[in-house]
Amino acid sequence: MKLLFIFLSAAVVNNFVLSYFLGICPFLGVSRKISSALGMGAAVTFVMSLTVVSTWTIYHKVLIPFELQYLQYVVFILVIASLVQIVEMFVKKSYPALYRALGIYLPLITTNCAILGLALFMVLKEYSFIESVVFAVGAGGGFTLALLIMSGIREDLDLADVPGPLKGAGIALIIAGLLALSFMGFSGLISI
Amino acid sequence: MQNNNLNQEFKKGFIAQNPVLVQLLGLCPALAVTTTALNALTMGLAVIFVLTLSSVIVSVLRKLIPYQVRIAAFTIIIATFVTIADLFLKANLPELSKSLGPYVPLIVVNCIILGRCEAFASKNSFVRTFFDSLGMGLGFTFALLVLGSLREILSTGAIFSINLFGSGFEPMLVMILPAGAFLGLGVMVAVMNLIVRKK
Amino acid sequence: MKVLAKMVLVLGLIAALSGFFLAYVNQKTYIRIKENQEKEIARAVFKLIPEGKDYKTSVIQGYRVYFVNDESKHFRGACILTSGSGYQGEIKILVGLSYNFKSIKGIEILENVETPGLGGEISRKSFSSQFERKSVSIPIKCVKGEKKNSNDIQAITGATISSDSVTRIVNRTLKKLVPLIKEYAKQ
Repeated sequence: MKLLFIFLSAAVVNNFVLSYFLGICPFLGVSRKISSALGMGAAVTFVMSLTVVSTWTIYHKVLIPFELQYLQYVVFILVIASLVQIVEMFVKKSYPALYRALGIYLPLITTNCAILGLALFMVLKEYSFIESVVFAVGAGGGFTLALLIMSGIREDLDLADVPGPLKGAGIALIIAGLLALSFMGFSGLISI
Repeated sequence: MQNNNLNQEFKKGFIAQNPVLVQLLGLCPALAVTTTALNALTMGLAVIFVLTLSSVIVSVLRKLIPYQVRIAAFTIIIATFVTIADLFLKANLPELSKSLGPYVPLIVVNCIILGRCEAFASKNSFVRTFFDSLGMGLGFTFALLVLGSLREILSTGAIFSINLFGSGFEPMLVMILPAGAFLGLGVMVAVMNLIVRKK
Repeated sequence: MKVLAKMVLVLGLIAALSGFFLAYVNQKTYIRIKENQEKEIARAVFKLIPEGKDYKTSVIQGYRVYFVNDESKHFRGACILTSGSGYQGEIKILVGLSYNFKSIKGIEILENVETPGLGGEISRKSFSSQFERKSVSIPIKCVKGEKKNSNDIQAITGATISSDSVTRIVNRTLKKLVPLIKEYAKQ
């Protein structure tokens, strides 16, 4: 039950993009087409799951026993950067088709604050290993969902007559605001 | 001439190349911590600290760091200063540190800092880098402070917790919610667009 | 080969310097950070049990329980640190119990992410003080409008779910923990 709570909370109630503001750059940048939104979402979810597995292990098995918690930011960001590199090389060699679909998004992910944010929240909320993995999948799913909705709206928006100064980022931010408002409807969805 | 140049490096961060409002970088903290003016100001100062120190160090070391590993080197330097800022806040301003939560460590992935290190500091002398990053940092703080004040005034009728309107004020709750952050920033970006275009 | 060696050397040097520097700053700030964290709990504990002077921390069934003594080392009450889901996320509550574990001394909302201005009002005194002096043996009921029974508390207008959540978390914690704490205190 707690796992379901963590999952839904990360995916919709406290959506990473719309209520924690994590991963705003790709949210505004890559959300022009539905297909690229899906690709980015999948890549992020994938890297997120790998990130929690490795950062959780390092944090609880290395940093805590040696009392090196103060190195966590340096270590986390290096782990994430190398992870993205390794995933990129691995996918390129073993799954060329997948690489063609996700490849261009992978390098962008290192600086995606949603990934580091996920690792930080995992520490902050003192999640166990299983909880962390569920949290990562929920967060990735929520990110993909937000990106998909946004790209759907923006594909239609291309045809709309937006006032000059609002064109581009301005209107995208206002749409995001309205989406955030509507996602508030998910509050209270589940309680334990 | 030299002075004029430095002045230019310093000033561009405010309007013409404002990192948040024009370049749309570092939006995550800009949206997340602007619930009150004080939070916004603290975040701005933390970013100025990290941005200035790490880009000056990058600029000093720029000839030493091999090109292939420069991003990794920059990241370590940035993460070091972020940790220092975070530890300082936790030790001396625990309440503020708590309300900023994970957004202080998230400065590590703030694109403004890595962007300035890569685009400016790794190519320029440390004096010019210092003024460039100070200007960018102040521009960032300025944008955050305006948004933070706007949201605090509309949602609580106060600024820096000082009440402005008395008890008759009807708070606009939406502005303190995440939705209010997006709406407020959207309007600010549009206004900035108008200003930049007129010039 | 030479380039590779230089790459490794420079990166290693930067990382080593960074680690050295951070270790130094950490050492300088470590004690103050620990103190700050302790102070936060201590402040809440002594707010609920004002006559207390110091406390001992025990972990019972995964819950942190603080046993509070006054100046002359007399036991004055216990506080339980608990949490549960609210309307939008986790709510962290400290529940204070009287010395005989029969009534609630008060509750303190330590953390919540409820809607500011609506559910967020649970952390206000006007709501949380309603829990004071309630009996531990009868479950507390959260009602809309007028209170009818002695163990009723009034929900915040427009934030029924948040008010309900606090009540539910408190009830659940008391039911599970009070017998265990009584047992523990005897030893």
